[in-house]
Formats: sequence, C-alpha cells, structure tokens
Amino acid sequence: MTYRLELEDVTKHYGNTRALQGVSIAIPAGKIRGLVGENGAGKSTLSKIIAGDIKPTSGTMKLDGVEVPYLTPASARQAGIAIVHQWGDLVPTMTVEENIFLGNEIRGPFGALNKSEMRNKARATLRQLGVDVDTRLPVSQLSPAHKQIVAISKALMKQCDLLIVDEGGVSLDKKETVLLHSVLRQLREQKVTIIYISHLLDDVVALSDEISVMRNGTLVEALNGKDTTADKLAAAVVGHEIRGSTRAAAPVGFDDRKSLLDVRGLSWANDGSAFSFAVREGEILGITGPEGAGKSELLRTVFGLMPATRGTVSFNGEVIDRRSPRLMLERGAAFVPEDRFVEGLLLNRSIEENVSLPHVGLQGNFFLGRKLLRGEATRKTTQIRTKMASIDAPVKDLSGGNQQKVVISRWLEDSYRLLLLDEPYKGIDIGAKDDINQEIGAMAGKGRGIVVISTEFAELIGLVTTLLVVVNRRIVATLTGDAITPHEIVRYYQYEVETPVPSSEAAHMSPAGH
Amino acid sequence: MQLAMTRTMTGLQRYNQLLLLVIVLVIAGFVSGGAFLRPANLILVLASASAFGLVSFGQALVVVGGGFDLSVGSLVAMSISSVVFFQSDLGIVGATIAALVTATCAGLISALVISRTKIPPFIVTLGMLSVADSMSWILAAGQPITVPDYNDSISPLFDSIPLGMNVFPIVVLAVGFVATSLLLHRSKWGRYIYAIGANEAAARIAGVPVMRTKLLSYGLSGLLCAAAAVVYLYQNISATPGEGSDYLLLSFAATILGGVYMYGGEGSIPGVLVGVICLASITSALTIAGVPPSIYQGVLGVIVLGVVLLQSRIRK
Amino acid sequence: MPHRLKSILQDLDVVVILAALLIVAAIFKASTFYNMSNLFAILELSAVLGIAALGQALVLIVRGVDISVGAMMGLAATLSAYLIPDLGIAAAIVLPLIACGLFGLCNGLLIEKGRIPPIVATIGMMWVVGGLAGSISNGRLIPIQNEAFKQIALGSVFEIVPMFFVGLLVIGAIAYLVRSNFAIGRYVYAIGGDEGAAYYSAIPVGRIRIAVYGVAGVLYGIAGLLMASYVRSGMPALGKGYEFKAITAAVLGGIALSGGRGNIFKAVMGAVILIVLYGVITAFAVSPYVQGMIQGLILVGAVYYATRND
Repeated sequence: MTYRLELEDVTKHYGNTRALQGVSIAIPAGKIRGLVGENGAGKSTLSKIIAGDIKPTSGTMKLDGVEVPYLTPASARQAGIAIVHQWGDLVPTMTVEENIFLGNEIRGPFGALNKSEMRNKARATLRQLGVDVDTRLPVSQLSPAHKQIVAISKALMKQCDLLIVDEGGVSLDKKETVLLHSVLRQLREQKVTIIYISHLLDDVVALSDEISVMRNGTLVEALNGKDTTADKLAAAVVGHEIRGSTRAAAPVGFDDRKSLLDVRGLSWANDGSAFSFAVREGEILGITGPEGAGKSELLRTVFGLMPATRGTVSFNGEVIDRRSPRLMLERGAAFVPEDRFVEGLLLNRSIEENVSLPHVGLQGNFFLGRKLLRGEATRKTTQIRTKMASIDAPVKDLSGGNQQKVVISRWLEDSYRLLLLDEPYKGIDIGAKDDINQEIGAMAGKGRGIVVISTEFAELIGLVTTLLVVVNRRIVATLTGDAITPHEIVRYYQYEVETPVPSSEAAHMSPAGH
Repeated sequence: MQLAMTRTMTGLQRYNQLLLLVIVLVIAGFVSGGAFLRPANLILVLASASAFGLVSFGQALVVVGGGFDLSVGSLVAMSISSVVFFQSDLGIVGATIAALVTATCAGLISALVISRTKIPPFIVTLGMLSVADSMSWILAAGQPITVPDYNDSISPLFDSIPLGMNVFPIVVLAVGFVATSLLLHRSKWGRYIYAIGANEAAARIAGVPVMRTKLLSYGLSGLLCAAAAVVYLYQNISATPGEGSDYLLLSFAATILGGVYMYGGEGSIPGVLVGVICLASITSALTIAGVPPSIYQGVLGVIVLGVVLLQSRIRK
Repeated sequence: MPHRLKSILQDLDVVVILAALLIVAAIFKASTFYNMSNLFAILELSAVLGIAALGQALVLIVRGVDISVGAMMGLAATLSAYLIPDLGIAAAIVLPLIACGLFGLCNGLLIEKGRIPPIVATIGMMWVVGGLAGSISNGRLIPIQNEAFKQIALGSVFEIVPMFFVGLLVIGAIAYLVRSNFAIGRYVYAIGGDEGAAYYSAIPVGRIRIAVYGVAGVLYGIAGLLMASYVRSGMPALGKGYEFKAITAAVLGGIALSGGRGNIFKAVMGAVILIVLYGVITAFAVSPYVQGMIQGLILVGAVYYATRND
C-alpha cells in the first residue's frame, strides 16, 4: 500500500536540544490523522518539517512512495502540501483578503492583481466557515477566532493533497468548530489527506480516523479513532505511569499556615473576569488549563509585568498596588517566565553572570566581589544539579533542561518566600523535570510558597497540593488531593467551547499567553 | 571534533582583537615604508587617538547596553562651543565644568526619553544630534572658537620631556580607559549594562534597574564627549562650529572593530581600545604614505565591513 | 465602511499639516514666501528629497534603515559631473544610476547574506561610496558646463511646476501603482510586517530584500543627479545629511520604523512638508542654526506620535 506521506527516522536538533528523535510515521491517502501530545512533545516541529518550513537534522520523507528531498515552503506547496500554523501565518498589518491570498495571488492581464476576484473568493470561503467579516479589515483587528478562520481559509485556497492543521480549533467556539470539522470531512471525501493537531482531545477523537501520540520528541502510540475516548487519549498523552513515586508526599493541612499571597478579584482586561486564590507557606499551587485561558497573564499581572484593571494582590498581608518586578523582588517574590529565550536568559553571557544577576549589587560596593559571586553561583547551580562544563561557559551551550535550571538557580535563596513559575517544563528532558520538581518540593518543605503553571499536568500530579484549572479566564475548578487526576482535569477543558469570550475584548487577547 | 572546533572559535573570538591589532600594525608599517613604526610616531598616533578614543569608550558603553548614541559627534561640538560661551563669565575652569555638565545632561535627557517612551534610541539620539548641533552653532555665534588656555596651562608642565605635548592627551585617554573598563568589567553597573544589552526583558524580570543603568551609560557617554572636546581644544586650539561629526563615525568604527556586538550584550573596553588604536594607526600610515584623505574613508569602509563579516562568520 | 473612512482620514493628516503651514505663510509672510522663485525652489528641493525619501521608505518598510543615502547622492552627482565632458549626457545619467543600484544591492547582500545589521552595513557602505566619490573628484567640486544637464533643473510646466516635481509625481505614481496592483508590492509589505508569515507563504524573502535596497540605491542616484543639475556641479558632500532628512520625511509621512506599514506616496508628502517647513522658517528669518534643531524635534515628535500605542 502506498501511503500519501511517510516519514522515516526523522530527527531534529536545535543545538543541544532534541526536538524530535527517530520519528517514523505513515499516513494513508484520504484519511484524517490526529496528532496529539503535550507542549514541547514535537507536534509543531514535525508538522513544520512536513510543510517545508524547517529542515530535519536527519531522516527521510516520502510522498506517494517516492522519496523527496528536504522541502522548502515553495517546494512543499508544489508538492501539494499546505499547512495552517498555530501562530504566525498572517501578517497583522495586512488585510484579510491580502493575507488569504498571500503568495498565492490571482492575477489578471500583465500580471496585475485581480482584486475583485480575490475579494469574492475570500468572502465565499469565509462564509463557508460561517464567518462574515469585512475582508478589507487589517487582520490585527480581528478576534483570535476569526484570525484562525482566516488562516484556515488561506490554507484552503491552495489546491492541496495534504493539509496540516496545527491547533486549528483552539480559539473557535462550538459552532465554528462544527463547521471546520465538516469542511475537513468534505476535504477527506475529496481524497485530501489531513493531519489534525490539537490538544482538544474531544475534537481529535470525533474527527480522526487514526491518532498518533507524541511525547518528548518521539512517537509513542498509535490509536484507532473509533475505539478511543478522550479519557483514554488523555492517559496516553500523559503516560501511563505518573512519575512521582520518588517525590516526598505533598504536605496537607494548610488552613492554619500563614498566607503568603492573597489574590482577590484580579483582572487585567475589561471582560468581567476576576481571579481569587491564595498561596500559603509551604504550599505548592498548580495552575493548568488550555492555551489562551489566561494563566500566564494572571501570574504576570500578579508580578507586575502587566497592569491590573481591578482587584488586589496582597503579599504577606500587605496590599501591593502599582506592582513592578523590582518591587515584588524586594518584597520577596520572584518570577520564572515561560519563554527562557525571550525573557529568561542572557544567552551570550556566562552561566555565572546569569545566575548572579539579581544579586550583583548586594555587597553595596562599587566593585563586584567576583570570587564570592562565582562561589554562590556554583553552589546554587550544583544544588539543582545543573550539568555544565564550567560556571563561565556561555549559557547558550547548555541543554534546555540545564538552561531552565540556571534561570531557577537565581531564586534558590530562602529570602524569596514566593516563587512563581510559568511553564518551567517546556522543552526539557525528564531528568531535568524531576530535578526541578525535587527542588520545588524542598523549597516548599522550608515554608516557601510556589505557584507552577503547566499544561503538562503529569508533572503537577503528585507535586502540587492544590490545582486550579483555568479555562477562558475563569477558574473552573479547584482540585486537591485525590481529585488531581488527568481524567478530572480534562473533564473541565470542555468548558472551553461553551463559554464565549466577549468579542470586544477577544480582539486584545495576546496570542503568546496561556 | 565538534568540541575542538568550538574551542578554536572561542579562542579566535577572544584573541581576534589582538590579532587584528597585530595585523593592522604590520600593514601600517608596510604601507608607510617603516616610518610608522618609529617610536616618536607611535606616540603621536596614541595622542591623536585620544579625543575620538574617549568618545568611542562612551559609545561602547551605550552599544553594549543595547542602544545607540548618534549624538556623540554633536555633543563634542556643543562642548567645544560651550567652553567658548562660558569662558568669559566663568573662566576656563568654570567653563570646562559647565561644558562637562551640559554634555552629561544631554546624555541624561536622551536616556530619559529612551526609557520613558517607545521611541527607538536611534531616533532619540538622532534628535539630540540635531539639537546639540544647533546649540553648537548658537553658543559659538559670532565668536571665533579659539581656546589656547588648555595648551597654555598644561603644555609647559611637560616641556622637559621630548614630545611632552602629547602627555596630556595620552594621560586623559588612559584615565578614560581605566574608568570605563572598571565600570564595565568590574562593577555591578557593568553587569547591568551587559544584561540589558543581552536581553532587556530578562534583565527587568531579574530586577535590574533598567532606567538607572541607561541614565548612567548615556550620561557617561555625554561626559566623555565633553572630555574629548577638552582634549581637542588642547591639541588644536581652534575649531569651527559643528566640528566633530567625524567622531560619530569613528566611534562606531572603533566599537565595531573592537568586537562590540551591535545588538548589545557583548564587547569589551580593551577591545575598543584596540579598535581605536587600529583606526589611528591606519590614518597615520596612510598620511605618511601620502594617500589622499578621500581614499582613507573608502579604506575605512572596506575594513569595517570586512571585519564585521568575519565576526558574523565566527559567531555562527 | 467605517474602517475605510478612518484609513482615508489617517492618510489625510499630512495634507492638513501642509495646508496649515501654507496658511501660516500666507498670513504672515505672503510676499517673502509666495513668489515664483521661492515656490519654484521649494518644489525643486521637494522633488530631490521626495525621491530620496521614497527609497528610504522602501527600506524602512522591509524593516531596515539606510544611512548611505547622502553618500550615494554624492557619488551620482560626482560621477555624472566627471563623465559629462567625455561621455555626454546620456552616459552621465545612466552610468551613475547603475553604480548606485549596484551599491544598493551590495547593501542588501551584506544585510541579507552577511547577516550584518542594516545600520552597520549602510554606514560601512557610506564610507566606501564616499571614498570612491572623493577619489573621483579629488576632494574638489566639479562644475557642470553641459547646458542640457543644467536645463533639467530649470525646465518647468506651466512656468511654476518644475520638471523635477513632475518627475517626482511620475515616480511616485509608478511606485503607487506597482504597490497596489502587483503582488511584489504586497510581498514587500509582508516581509516588513511579519517575515515569518511571508516565508511560510513561499515568498522569496531574501531576494526581495536585496532587490529593495538595490531599487532604493537607484532612487538615491536619481535624487543626486537632480541635485547636481540644481547646483550645477558635482561633489561628494552634495547629499550630506540627506539620510536623516529622508528618514524624517518618511516617518512624517507615516512609514513605521518597525516595518510593514505606511503609504509610500505619503512619504513623498512628508518630504514636501519638510521642505515647505524649511521654507516657512526661512521666511520668518529664523536663524538657520535653529532649523536643524527643529528637524530633530519634529522627527522625535513624529516617532513618538507613531509609537505611543505600540
């Protein structure tokens, strides 16, 4: 049997980070293949390789049985492959119709653009997906849902045999999702092969003929779409054994402990959302939920990186308004951001410089106490078991896990009573995740309060004392003890498609947040 | 094998400044038929490097911190005119202090605007460039710019030493070098500057006082420009208003040659000193060889582009 | 459509500013400002700056910056003045433009393939080009005797509109037509707006970027030739300061420094406003020293206004 697409032993390395390792997959023509996995599992990397956006480090690819050389966006399009990316498909400054036909324009005589035909076709495709929007608007003014539909329309404009949809349904509501699925099924009738990537497991189960599960850069399981339920899929995504048997049992009974962080009615947008929760000494609070739910923004607002529109934040009983990173740090609260490359590390500087950064001024002298700083940096990085050639090596040479440890090493002092971590497990190996969790456990043991955001709830299970599930900017569940299981957590994700976000505020939702 | 390659590259990076200097000195010696390498000439070269060298140190601080200071040339010009302007009321000492203060304030204003608005440093300092340039004309209006006082008071002190006239500029250059080196490489502010240049967002989250650091680096840049003006007047006694725009380009060339990364977060003051000396050496050698000044500019451009390309390659 | 209206109104702000300036001049300095020779000169210089600003605007749209504008203008002027006696007017126009185009392509190559920041690459090229112009002219000014060449500056339509300005309108119109009706126009804006998205759309980002710098080079060359005709000589320093003037004009005309946005015809308008502003200031006998300061503050103000919502 000839498959529409075959990948053999595909690997992708970014410096020291392994994004994909030995992935082999075979997809028959005219079928919908679901592709699931946690953040950092490699789904996007794999799809980008298929679509020619990036080149693999090694491995081969075959289309209809014939081996093809590594693709580029242009050659992929010629081969009949189209992709809807998760983000970054659209140019925000250009209009809807310009975006839909970007690189694929309809031309008339002398090669001039046939704008009226493009306008009509754009309108027609959007209507097919149930959307009526002025195609002359710049994309930046659309809601995330409409942006997604525009991106999907763009891919649909290209005649293709293989369509990849990466998180196509994330911002859509129930009605729009139904329409999208019917369009995809129609394409399947036309013998188009589809790869559907999503973390909305219900959707994947409803739509797919077969499902491939990825974890940590490898393909771990293949399931049949008809025999699977969302629960089974969740278990497969997370992994059957929940690691954590080596961790100390999470302490219980916090009601009498001192409150470190008290958040009341906090919001950063004018959409009626209001977050209230507390973190006590020795408590580890987990926050999980689908992408776009607002988890990252919440922590960033608490730490003072974003202005709040309402609500209060109290630290150690003292209300702190006009928060800023420097102020929060002074009070004893620290923040580990989601993207260590964008906001965490000084990439071309040494490990020591990165770790010492918050503390270089502590001696109060003009001159650095370099010996002291190096000693402290070595001590901290060793405590969290960072593997490095030397404390003076540039931090960009480290593996992802060790890089993350460097960021966390900054805040190992007990004087930081509260530590906020945004997706610390993204793109790092299992060993590093364990080391980090061990350190978090130790911190809590000393009475520090920790907040951890993660979509990889396997890491949070067995670590956290309380787990907040946040969906569409609301805390939909607060789970403790035995209730913290993948089954329970995923159950609350369904709220996402039923709770609409008011469209006026939706336009301002940042795509990079959770 | 991979490790050996990386080690070679890092070694190259660390030593490429020294390598560059050696190559330049050799070429300069060759071009000038050996005349360049006479000790008397080397001292002259060093002295000629003083004024724009000071400016380059200031520019380096700003660029390592992730910014640009396009106003440096005009700040030198404005400082020269300030001395003339204030001299009649405040005497030479008072005028010197006034010039130092005004240039520093200009730098502080640039830093303030950069920190408080989203206007890129390129534009802000470009604006400051035109303001300072105008000021340099206004302050000097009607008066000839002739300030023999520096030379008259300092030069006699070194009469006994051969080429003693060059002691002052070289000493000032040395002081500037030591001060900026200590700041960037041995103090917490230097760490802050590197951090902001490498990743301003990360620096902010880690508690670095971003605005204060920028005030420091742009302010110092202004101060060093005024110091350069003093050296210039010492060496040249008179000037035309607006003199000093060359210093902007020279300061960029020196920082580039000195291995400072234009996007910030990398570079060293000793490296910049090497860049400064290279530039002064090239000028000297070309002058000795009788090459017309227009060719000099072209040579400079080719060298700078060549070095940057190489650095780009090594960085990969 | 409310959005369309808003966008048209946004585009008209330059017209409003221009009108305001002209009205102020009419009220206070009618005789000094509104006479044939003054208006003619304003239109001539607007054309020179306008064409240079158009080139700079293209570069800004692809998220770059070009500091070599003045040097290229000087090279074109110098080369042209140098060649006219021996090779005649045709060669003296075509060859400098080719040279500037090639140097522009060099800029593009350095930036795209050499991975050099645009500011560094164009400053380096500025020195190279300046050095070349200097060695051609031996540091001196080369007077132009050729009557036909000098006539270009003096030619006019309806006695008041210089040929320069007509040329500007023609070039501007061509640029606008290409931008609106051909895919390449969209591609250039896409690269500046979101390079990743452009790449995913199979747009040849690198090649287009290099070409943009090349086209900009030719435009700077045209501006330099016009200037040479106007002052009847060629010298390297002819374009001194034009890079910053061009940036100011482009930003005034709504071109975003972050790329991907801005109506290129408005950039030309920005140049007109700037020259008119200078004219008005001169009419008010404001010290020339202050002019530079005003330009700088306008630039900062314009960028502040443009970026305040980012």
